[in-house]
Amino acid sequence: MGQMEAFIIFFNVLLVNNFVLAKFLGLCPFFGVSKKTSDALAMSGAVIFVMFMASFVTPFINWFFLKGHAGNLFYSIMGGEPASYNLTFLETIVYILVIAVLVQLVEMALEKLAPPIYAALGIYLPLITTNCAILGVALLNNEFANTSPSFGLYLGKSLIQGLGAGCGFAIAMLLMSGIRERLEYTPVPRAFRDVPISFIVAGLMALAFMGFAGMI
Amino acid sequence: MTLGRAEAFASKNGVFVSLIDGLGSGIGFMAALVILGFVRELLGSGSIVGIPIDPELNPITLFILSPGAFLGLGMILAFINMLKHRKEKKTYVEHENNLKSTTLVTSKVKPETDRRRYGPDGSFHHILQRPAR
Repeated sequence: MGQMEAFIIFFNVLLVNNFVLAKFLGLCPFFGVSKKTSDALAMSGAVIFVMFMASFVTPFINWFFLKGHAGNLFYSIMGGEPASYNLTFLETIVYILVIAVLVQLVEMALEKLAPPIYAALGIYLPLITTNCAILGVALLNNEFANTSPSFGLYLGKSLIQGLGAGCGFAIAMLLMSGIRERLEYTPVPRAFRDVPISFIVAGLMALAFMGFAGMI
Repeated sequence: MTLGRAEAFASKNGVFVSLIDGLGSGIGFMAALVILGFVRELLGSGSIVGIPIDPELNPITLFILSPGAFLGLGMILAFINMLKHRKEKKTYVEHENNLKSTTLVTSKVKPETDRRRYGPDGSFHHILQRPAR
């Protein structure tokens, strides 16, 4: 993998195909926790961690257990046809389990180390488990398994994409929370107050992010 | 969203009530999806359920791209809010009229003691008129 390819993967998910603003993944924490910048920061930290760890763990599972190819461990032990060991239909449930374990880890750590942040995030912390952005990045990484010749390359690309997607989420989240903090002191028409104006703001942000489309 | 619903509602209520709640929020979700889809298709590609209304129409392509989804949803929510506020205002005015008829009696006792609460004519009028924050 050249430097250029890594750069392209990273900036593709960071700006051009931003998970929140261009793909609509992970919208519920985006609108739920973006009222205060400190909470938004904590949330994006948790999401970056879970996303990065998920894109570290899921390639191992996919490459060695699920995918029916020469690298499959069951195939190398038992022999026969590699395609007959294809378990990719299990990917959703297996990935969800991996993500749930990681979220549990973050939850336990936050509860002990930073109780105020734990209280501020509330229900949105366990909800990272079903955050479509994280399952989305794990499933999108599968495409690299078909295109990369070796496991190391697949893992590297997955990690870069996981980190890029997490940072993209954090960027969108922080920009949004900054704008929303200002919105609190802005005379907004009554019908637009709170949630509707946040959607309009997100729309304008998505419009601005579309400007990155020509970059890659 | 599904997990949120399960945590917020199903863990506190019985199986049957949770089932009804799930069905209700599912139908609500469907309604929202259909409304948003209708608006976006109408504005974004100038058609209704795949049937173009006017071939010479120049649609707003923005609405089938990602910003259009946010803008459309924001507008729909604002519209719903507007309807809600209008309904609230109606009941407010009725309430105010009811109060006026009753405060006419009590105003002889109260207005001198507490002008801030009861206003110069002894009604709640100025309090009710103040926009909610």
